[in-house]
Amino acid sequence: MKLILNSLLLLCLFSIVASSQVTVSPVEFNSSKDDFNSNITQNGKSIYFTSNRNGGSQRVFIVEERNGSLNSPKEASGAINDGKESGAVALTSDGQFMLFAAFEHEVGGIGRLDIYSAEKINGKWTNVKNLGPNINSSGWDSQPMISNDGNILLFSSDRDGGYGGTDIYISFRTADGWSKAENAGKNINSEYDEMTPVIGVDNSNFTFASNRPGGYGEFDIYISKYKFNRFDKPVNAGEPINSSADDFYYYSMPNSDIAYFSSSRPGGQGGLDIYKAVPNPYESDAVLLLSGVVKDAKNGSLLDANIIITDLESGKKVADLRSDDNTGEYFVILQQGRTYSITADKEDYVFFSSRYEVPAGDAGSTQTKNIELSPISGGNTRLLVFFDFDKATLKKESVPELDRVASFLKKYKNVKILLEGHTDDVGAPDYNQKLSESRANSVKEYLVNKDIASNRINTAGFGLSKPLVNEKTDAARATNRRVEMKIIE
Amino acid sequence: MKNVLLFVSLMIFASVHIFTQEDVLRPKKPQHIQQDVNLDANYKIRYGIEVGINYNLYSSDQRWLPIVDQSLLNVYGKAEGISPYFVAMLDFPINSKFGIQTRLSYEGRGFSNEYDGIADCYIADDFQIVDAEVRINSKFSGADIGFSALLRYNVTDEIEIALGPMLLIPSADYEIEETQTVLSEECFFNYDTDPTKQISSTSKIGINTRFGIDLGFSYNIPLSDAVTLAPSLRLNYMFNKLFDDMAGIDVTRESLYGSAFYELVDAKLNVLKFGFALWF
Repeated sequence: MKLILNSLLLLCLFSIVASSQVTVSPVEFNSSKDDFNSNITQNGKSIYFTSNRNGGSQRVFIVEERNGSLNSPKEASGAINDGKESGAVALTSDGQFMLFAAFEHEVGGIGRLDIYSAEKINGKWTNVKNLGPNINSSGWDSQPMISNDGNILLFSSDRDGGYGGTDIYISFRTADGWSKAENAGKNINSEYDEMTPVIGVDNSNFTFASNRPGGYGEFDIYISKYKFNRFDKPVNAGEPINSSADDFYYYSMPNSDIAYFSSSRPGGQGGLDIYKAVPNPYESDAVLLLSGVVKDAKNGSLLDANIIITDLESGKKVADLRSDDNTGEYFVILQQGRTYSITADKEDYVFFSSRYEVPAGDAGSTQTKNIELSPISGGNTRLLVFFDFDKATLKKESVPELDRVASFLKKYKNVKILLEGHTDDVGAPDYNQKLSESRANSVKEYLVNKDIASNRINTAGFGLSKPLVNEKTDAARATNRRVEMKIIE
Repeated sequence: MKNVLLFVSLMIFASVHIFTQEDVLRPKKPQHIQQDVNLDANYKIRYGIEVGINYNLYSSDQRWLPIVDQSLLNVYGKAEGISPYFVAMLDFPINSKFGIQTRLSYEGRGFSNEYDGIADCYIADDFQIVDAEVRINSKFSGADIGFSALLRYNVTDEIEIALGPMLLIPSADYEIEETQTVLSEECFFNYDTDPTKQISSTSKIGINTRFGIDLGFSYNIPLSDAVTLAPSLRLNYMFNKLFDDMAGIDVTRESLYGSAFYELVDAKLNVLKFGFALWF
């Protein structure tokens, strides 16, 4: 009994100590006006936030890291600030795609306040589009949040038909765009106001703010989880995250013990300020941060390319991004214990495909994978196709890549290709030779069935004679087993 | 004058502009809610209607000098009855638990009493006076316009209590319909002209404006996101008199008691109400 009591005492003590260790401090770029809605992109290289520091209107601001320190905030350039009020931004982790809310934006709206999308091109936010009636209503629609995989959109709205006040709504990306937004349900929403939804980089941890009774005062931050298409019952984030003042927008930095949130508590610069909480008591699950640059395989020039990352097990697209126009950089967050395909393409280049595995142990790390795209003329690429063991039968996982080849050949009608089959060094050379030829022919057969003229496709088998890696490890053999596509005309 | 008009127009335009300007953090409420600056901007005004039944409970004190036993006027000592009511309501939330509720109502009134008493009966042939058993029935009818301003408290999400002052203004004088029926076989009304066993009369009585309290309990049942049904039980307890005190001579049993001095005082009408409200 005494032991149990001692254990309980220690547990209580631990929780008290753990709670009291969280340090909350305002960030250095707050102003005397409202500063809120901090979005950290590219693992901390840029911080976007909303502020009315330059006058009465809300605007999107950006702070960038230069040589280890943050420069002064400046208004984000481009059309996103063309509304009478603009802000409440949500960015993809690579910082190339944005959702934001605006009042009376120049591109037009549906309701009192609408949600828009924008792309970053040549360093400017442009191509602003209203998200349309599936998302926007005649009421107030704001505070969009897009999941890391880009498939879930959450936002706040005071439209009719909710539980009361502002509610949180959810929409899913479909082949035709965003699905009709639905109320996130009574586990999250109440007769009071719910707003500032934030979903963690693990696509599961979910936070929002509410002024429901039982909190510490005004708006408090609540913690929930989103899994299997439902939200868990939320819990109050407690002190010191919450205060007697307004507390909004709780963001957890990926693979970090830092969280950012916005609060009007005393001790700041004035109005709402952005605060940093260390250590983050509500960390998202660890993820893999993958970054790299896209280059021209011949001259090394940096390229802006479309990159799609697909979960090979589920077949679901988990990221659809674009490398930076100026730097060629891309950045994506991947979940542990998954195998992905990474494909990149750009006009007048041969597309690139690669398999990318994130073992469970790699979570929490940052890895680099550069992508080289070959110009069509004389270009080549390795196809991401899969065969049954020791056979030339194509696995169904190969279909997206084969369809990509077919689309490529339909787009560039004068191109002729050579499909080269290669094996590893296991087995007799003659057998491997025939197997490599059969596999190349299997790919050709699929493409011909997709209405690609047979005379545009040549095949060759090289067996084990042209390994990419001269090693006898499993990894080397996996690299050497391949089908390559070369542009011959 | 022209400049003044221009200035006023600009001010109106400016204020409209301010009201319609939205920001990305918090929605502006509709203008009619914003104008009520005493209320928390996070809660919306509700409006509703209610229909139900009044259970009217009338009572008064009566005095005789000398006391007239089983006087027919006892019928005015108490009465009860049901009548309909209709209410239009507004609810102005103050916070999550409290609000101000205003009610404007049409209150139908109807209450009656029946009493078996004794009255003098003249036997025409031999000039004898005997006691006649008479059943008297009195029925009040009329209507009030009610106004309540209540403090509403949500005990739970479903259960509400509301309490506050109430004002009842009569829409017109109440009508009193009185019917007397002789139960004794040998007696008649109008025995010398048109003998009859029953007579009726109608009169009017001036009704006071009354003040009181309105106490209500209701239970909210959401029918949809926008509509709530609320069965309610209420008490309207009035502090002042339904009508002014009255005095007169009771001669119904003059043969035995002589002309008795009669007073009807402290007439009160309190109401129990049961209704169904729809809140929007």
